[in-house]
Amino acid sequence: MTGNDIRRAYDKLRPDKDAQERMLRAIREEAAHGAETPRRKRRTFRGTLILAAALVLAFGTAAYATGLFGLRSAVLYHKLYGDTDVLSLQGLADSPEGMANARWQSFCSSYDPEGAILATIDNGSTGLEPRYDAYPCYTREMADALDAIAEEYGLQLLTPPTLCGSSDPLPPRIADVLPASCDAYGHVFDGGYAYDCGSFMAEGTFTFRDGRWPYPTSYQLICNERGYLSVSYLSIGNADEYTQWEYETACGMPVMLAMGPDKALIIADLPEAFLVVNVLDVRVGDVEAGEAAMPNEVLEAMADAFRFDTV
Amino acid sequence: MLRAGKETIEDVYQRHVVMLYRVAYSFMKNGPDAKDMVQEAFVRLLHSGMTFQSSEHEKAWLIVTVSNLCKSALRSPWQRRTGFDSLSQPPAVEDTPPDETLEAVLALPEDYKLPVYLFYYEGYQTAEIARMLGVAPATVRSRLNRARKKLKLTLGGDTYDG
Repeated sequence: MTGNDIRRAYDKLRPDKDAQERMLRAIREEAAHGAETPRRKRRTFRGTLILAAALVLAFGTAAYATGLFGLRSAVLYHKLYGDTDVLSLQGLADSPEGMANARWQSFCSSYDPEGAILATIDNGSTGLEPRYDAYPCYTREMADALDAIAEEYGLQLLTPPTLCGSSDPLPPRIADVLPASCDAYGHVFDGGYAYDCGSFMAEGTFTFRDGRWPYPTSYQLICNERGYLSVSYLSIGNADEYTQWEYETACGMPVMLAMGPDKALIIADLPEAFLVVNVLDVRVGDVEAGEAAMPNEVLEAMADAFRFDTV
Repeated sequence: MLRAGKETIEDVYQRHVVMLYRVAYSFMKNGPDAKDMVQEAFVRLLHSGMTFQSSEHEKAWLIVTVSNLCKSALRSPWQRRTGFDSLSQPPAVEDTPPDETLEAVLALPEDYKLPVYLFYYEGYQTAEIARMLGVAPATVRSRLNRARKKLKLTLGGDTYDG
């Protein structure tokens, strides 16, 4: 199969003219009715009630705002795309690594907004040195901005990452941190990548064997070493919708746990590195079986599984 | 008006409806649900009062929004049961011809579908996709790599970036 096959397949996918007209008619009606229709109010209200009930039933205990640090303190900024808070993956927002990333994102938001320069480069070479390969740079101007930000915050650039497939031997640093399957749960490493400095990203799947959470749960672990410029970030929706609490893992490391409407987070702010585990599949179900929400205890068990003390 | 000038929601709709339908169909795997998601994305745009720096920003916002709506709908059964009652249409005849490639792409894990669509169909660069999805460029590349492997496993033959 080629890229052309994929393009041809998607070409066939289009709503018929009648459907397009129906959708447009409904949108026009919305426009005519104003910003808040009864339908939207009803759904929001019902959704809030169900979510609140699910949280109370599933979690049992009242969560509290953490004294360690709050999720808000790791939010870099609010992004218009998708209307979401953007979480720092390098350190708290006021750390040198967090501030540098915010500066880079600010630069990118105003640079080449129409993508005109990028369009001229297309898939060709950028002509930039390999030292910028870890970054979404495609012009000398961008590379210079990256260097200036790194210098201002006293950070080094990352080397290009090495991809690790699910069947590849894992670098020891990743292998040490990742969970090992045991009686309580199975764990599968799905892939990731690693930088020479020790920063890495790993994706995996938990399957609890003791029935406490019967759904496979995917996660991404992002570990960023201090002192390096990383420009990745994580969109998390509204940070205020997360329930947060402090937790000490089985290996004795203090972490912050946050349970949100669609995902959960495990955050470890360590002296040498900043780690974020992005837990997906925290709310699953179908129309017939109803919805299930991951209990807090399951998130704590996942946090226990990671050996943050090896970082 | 959504942008500087005299554009209306209908202009934006005509410009993006087919593209958004493809994104939504990738997630929902059926026409009626995909149409609901597309419609909801435009309604959100309408109510948000959002202005965009460029048509690329507008397109990116819509792609991310419809993707998020689809993911929420798939994970929240109450939303599917009750959310679109007043917008429901008569049962639609499935309007997509069977296609082996499309079926294989639709069977990809959720996280792989959007990068595949944006890269192969919309022609975005991995760096742009990374910016849009809020992940590292290497994450996009590794997802594309894994998607290619899975497509090769599903369909046989070779896959490449062409």
